[in-house]
Amino acid sequence: MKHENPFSIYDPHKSGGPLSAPVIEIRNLTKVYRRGLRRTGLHAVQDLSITVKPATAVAFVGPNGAGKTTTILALLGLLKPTAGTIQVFGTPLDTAVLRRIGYQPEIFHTYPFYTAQEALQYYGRLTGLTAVSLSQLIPSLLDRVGLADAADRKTATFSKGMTQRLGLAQALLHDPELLILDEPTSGLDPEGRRLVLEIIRSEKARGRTVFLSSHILSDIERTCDEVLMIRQGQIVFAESLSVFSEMSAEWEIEVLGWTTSVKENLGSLNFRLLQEAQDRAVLVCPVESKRELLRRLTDLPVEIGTVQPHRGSSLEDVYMKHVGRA
Amino acid sequence: MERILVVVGNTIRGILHRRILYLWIAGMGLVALMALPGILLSFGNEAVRNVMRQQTVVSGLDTWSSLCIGLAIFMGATAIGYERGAKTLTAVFARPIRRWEFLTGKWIGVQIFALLGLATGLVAAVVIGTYFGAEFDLKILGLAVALSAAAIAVYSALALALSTVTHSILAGALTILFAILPGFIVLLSESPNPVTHGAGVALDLVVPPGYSSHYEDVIHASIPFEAFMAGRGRIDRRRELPEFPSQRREPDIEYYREFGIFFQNIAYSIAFWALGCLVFSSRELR
Repeated sequence: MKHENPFSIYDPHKSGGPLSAPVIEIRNLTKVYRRGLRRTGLHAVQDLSITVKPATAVAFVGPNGAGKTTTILALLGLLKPTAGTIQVFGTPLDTAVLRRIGYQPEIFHTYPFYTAQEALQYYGRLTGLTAVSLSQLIPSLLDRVGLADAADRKTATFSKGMTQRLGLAQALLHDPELLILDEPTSGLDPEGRRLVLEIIRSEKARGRTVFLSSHILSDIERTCDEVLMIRQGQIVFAESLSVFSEMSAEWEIEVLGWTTSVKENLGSLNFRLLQEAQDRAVLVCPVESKRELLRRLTDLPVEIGTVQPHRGSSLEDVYMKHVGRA
Repeated sequence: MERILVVVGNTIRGILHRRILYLWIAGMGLVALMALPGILLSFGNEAVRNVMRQQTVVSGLDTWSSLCIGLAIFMGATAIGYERGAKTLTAVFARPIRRWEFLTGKWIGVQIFALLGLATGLVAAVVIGTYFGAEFDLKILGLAVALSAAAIAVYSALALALSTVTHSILAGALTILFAILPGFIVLLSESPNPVTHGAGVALDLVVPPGYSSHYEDVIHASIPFEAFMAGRGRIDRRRELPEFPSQRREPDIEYYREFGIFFQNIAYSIAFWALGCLVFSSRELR
């Protein structure tokens, strides 16, 4: 389903085109929180540099307290960097740039006295949209996030998931070129999660840039092009997610009844042992050797268990290696 | 301007949501309770009773005006604190709204609500007073309302500015301190002790002149003793009546000075607002 916003304030010609400068360019960002009378410093972010290209979905991953939200708040101008520079759409942050950004906080807090519709009217008018255009936009947007039936309900009565959906709606309201989403699926049921991921994918398909902070690695694998891993305020891993899918050009074959003689029988074939334990083994072979290996195994006194594509190094493995505390 | 008006609307909705209307109604009830004895009690003479009623009405208006100023302090001190506590500021300032626009909208919203309260009390007092035959001195009434409005402006601006850097309760308490300080400043600056005198002079620069009420002068009527005595039957007709003050004694008001205070309060309110905008713009939001 194509969602076009007739009241979009996004003008690629005016803004120098969506494929020109990096959308986000953070250089050597350092943020130190000073606390107490002695002004003891806590380095939330240290010498962090990020470049986000237009029309990409970039995941920002890291454990709690790694500096993700600090980076996002600095990106939005809500926190002042201790050192470093931040440019969005090629310029330092100002109100014109903020007009092109949609932000969903980790936990969206809104005014309890507004209905969903009124809340979106408020945020829309703060962004510069007219009441008339909003009255046409809001119903379709609420429908898009699955809140059409709750349009006239006070937000005070919303569940956590509904509030998160409303948070996403207010971020999408002015059809921003850059979407900054901080844990957009937290508190959502599986249906809500799927809906949010679909929206992220459709926004990316429309040429919007998505900067997604999330803990849920499967969400990232399903929606993002690139991943940035942050630990203790520093980027520890930055890679395109296509690298992970390219690694699945091998197959895993589970063999039950594994013995030394079986191993010797397969000696001449192109495979390696991924796991070996008593009477079970998991073999990994190139795709071109799979058929021959399976044929040979059927001739041997073994049972063939799971046969599946081999993910050499999953995002989770990389996360645990670079970010995990273990 | 559009964004400021949107924030004004949001502020008024927020005030109504925080049950401040109940405080307002409670204030009205308090004023009514204070006024009831003066309105209902009879002194045996219709003329005396009418004057008593008229004076009770303006006295109620005086109390109501002070309550509106107190309400403005409360609303100003809690406007930003409420948003900070509810964590609604992040989603707002991720949008293209400047901090000064937001603070201005909050200030205007608070003032509109307080001035509406004042206007309601004023209309009620004029209607009830006229019913009791009061003749309002419109010149003094205008001055009294202007001074109340200026006090609402200055104290709400100060409370709002302080709430950008501190907790709402502290912001409210400091504003109340500023409201009661002018009386002490005179004492301090007149002190022969150079330190105390210096402190008084310094405070005089920082503290706005404050609020002085003229509602009691809005009706010139004083107790008609002659009629009172006649009504009670205590007058000795053989003796010459003593001289009583005229029922329409003109109060001694220095308009030039009072308007000076009005303009000073307005100037201070703009200064506090500007300072609040400056501080709020440099604050980090999390």
